[in-house]
Amino acid sequence: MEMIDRYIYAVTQKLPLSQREDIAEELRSLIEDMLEERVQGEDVTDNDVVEVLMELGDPRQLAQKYKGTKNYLIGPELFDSYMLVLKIVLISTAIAISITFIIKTIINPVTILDHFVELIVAFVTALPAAFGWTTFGFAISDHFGEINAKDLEIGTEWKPSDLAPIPDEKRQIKYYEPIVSITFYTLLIIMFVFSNEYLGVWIFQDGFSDVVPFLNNETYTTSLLFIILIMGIGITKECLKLIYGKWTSKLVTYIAIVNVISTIAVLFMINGNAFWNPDFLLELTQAGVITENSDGYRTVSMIWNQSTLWILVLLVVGLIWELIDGLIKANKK
Amino acid sequence: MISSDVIRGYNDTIILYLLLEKESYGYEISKRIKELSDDKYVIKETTLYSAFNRLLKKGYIESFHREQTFGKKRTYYRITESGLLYYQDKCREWELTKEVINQFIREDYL
Repeated sequence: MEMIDRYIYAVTQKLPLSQREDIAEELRSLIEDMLEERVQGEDVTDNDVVEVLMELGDPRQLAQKYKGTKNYLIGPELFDSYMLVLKIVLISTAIAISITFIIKTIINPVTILDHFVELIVAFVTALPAAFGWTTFGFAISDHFGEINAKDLEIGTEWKPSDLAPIPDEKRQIKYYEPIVSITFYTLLIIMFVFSNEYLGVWIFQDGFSDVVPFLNNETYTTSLLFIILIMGIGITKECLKLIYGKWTSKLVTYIAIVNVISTIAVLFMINGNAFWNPDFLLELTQAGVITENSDGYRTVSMIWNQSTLWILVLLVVGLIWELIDGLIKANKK
Repeated sequence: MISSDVIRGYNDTIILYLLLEKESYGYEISKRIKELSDDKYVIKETTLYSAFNRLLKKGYIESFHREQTFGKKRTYYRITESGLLYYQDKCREWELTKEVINQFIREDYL
């Protein structure tokens, strides 16, 4: 009888914890029933056990069949939105990489070969990454949204009277809005990842000569992680809008949560001196753009020193505005 | 022996029919299906298991344990009120399906 235990163990081991006990019990009584039928009241021999187990087959395959609830990553409810977002993300990634290449080549045509290698590298690394993250995001929402979808299915009989009223023109989220935003976020990500060295004040002396960067090069890797995270949150938000298609209080709630998270992330990133280039004003002076103690210097220095605050204020105002706007639209009759 | 997509859509109906006869358990049901279909349709244990889970979730059947001889415990299933309604719906659906498909079957081609 030890063989039966081993068999049951081999099957259940491949199953999620929550199902193990149930299926083990089910399988044991099945095997016992099959044995009983086979021997018809006689004693069970090892040979009978072997034959019954052979009939049930490879434990791995049996486990697979028992489990067999869901064998897809992204279900039909989300598939259309997934394909749309995937296309947007891939196309804008490709465009952004190409634009980066063109700009770099125009600025510095001598090193075109280097730029071309960078272009190839960017394509090979960024496109699969974009594909992967988009798929990952949708797979996650499919996983957690599954329960909801099932609730909807239970009312199998669909009636025309169940139809939700057509949302007011003003409640609808225009199809192109999230698309534009996702494109924008993707372009920003690509720009930050592949051409951060051009992010700053461009200095022209006999043509293009140098860039005074806005951001601190030493902490750039950490900053980049935050930037990608924040943009990723932004893309998630736009995907939600795309999936919902209209303003509802549920969507507004989700967006509120997402906005709070991204504000915290931005605060975390931008606070402190490590984010911005600490020598920005000095480098600008050295490049001859501004002269120390001039009016221009004072203006630039004021703008530079207050930029953190103003970026934050603009961001928070923007996010709050988005919420209020959504809330108003959601409550429109 | 058949194992087609057509019949798969009626697995639940078959199970509910057998549970209407009497409360039963997995192995007995699979034997009854084999028997009643003259060995033409055999339902796999794993298919049966997921069908039970589905029907339980939808509330069409309920499960309970019953002590067997020799102290064995076994999961039995019985049909519920809404299970019966669903079964009746499926019966009507089948009648209609049969009627429609028959319009496209020519006896002399068989």
